Amino acid sequence: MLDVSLLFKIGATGILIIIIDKVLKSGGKDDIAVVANLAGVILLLMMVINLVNKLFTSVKTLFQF
Amino acid sequence: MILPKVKMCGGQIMIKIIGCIVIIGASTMAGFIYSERLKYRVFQLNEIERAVYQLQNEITYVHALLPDAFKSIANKSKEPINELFNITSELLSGNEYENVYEAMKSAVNTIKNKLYLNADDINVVLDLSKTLGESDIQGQNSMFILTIANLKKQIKISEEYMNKNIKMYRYLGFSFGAMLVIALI
Repeated sequence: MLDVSLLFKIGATGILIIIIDKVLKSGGKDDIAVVANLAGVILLLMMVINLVNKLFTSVKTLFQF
Repeated sequence: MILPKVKMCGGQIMIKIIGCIVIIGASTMAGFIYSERLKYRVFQLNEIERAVYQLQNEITYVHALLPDAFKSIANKSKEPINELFNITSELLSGNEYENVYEAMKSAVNTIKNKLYLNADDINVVLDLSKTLGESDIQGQNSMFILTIANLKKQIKISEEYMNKNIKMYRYLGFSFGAMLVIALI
């Protein structure tokens, strides 16, 4: 069963990244906003990489006879 | 990361919540402190502008000697600008340096960590000190006019920068704290 708290975590991180992006863009620091966005995406990827790994292994076991 | 679920008792949850609040509070405070630097820059530039006006008066009307003129404007200005003029005055009366520029440069280096000015602002003041005491009153007066015009320009730039960025740093401080807490939970 999937842990629901992970979904909430991803949602909250997404909202915060949007806020940081908006604040940086309103301050005229567009290039730093891009870097912050990238950092956020990598953070989220690191959160879900275990799940993706699990998915791949289960698909692999599905096709192994 | 999916950690194995561990049953936590009330005390542990309490400690976790307190830790989160401490992290968010600290990062918000860091944002506020950083944004205060921008305010201090405007304040110090205004103080320097006032001091330069007073120096102009001391030189053109009172005809005071430079160390005395520096001493008297040091008495009239606030921290940390008074220190700048005080140290310069002491260095000049002690005959430690060849010219005013070198004395002022070393004074700026001495109190560098108290000044929130950037290199451009300091250059404006140092440019003035290059011509102080090296020409007649007319020449110095024109240099004062140039310096004050430059200072007004820097004040305008720094005020615009402050208005633009002061809110950004505050929000950023809070956001990074919240991000850290979410990553740690």
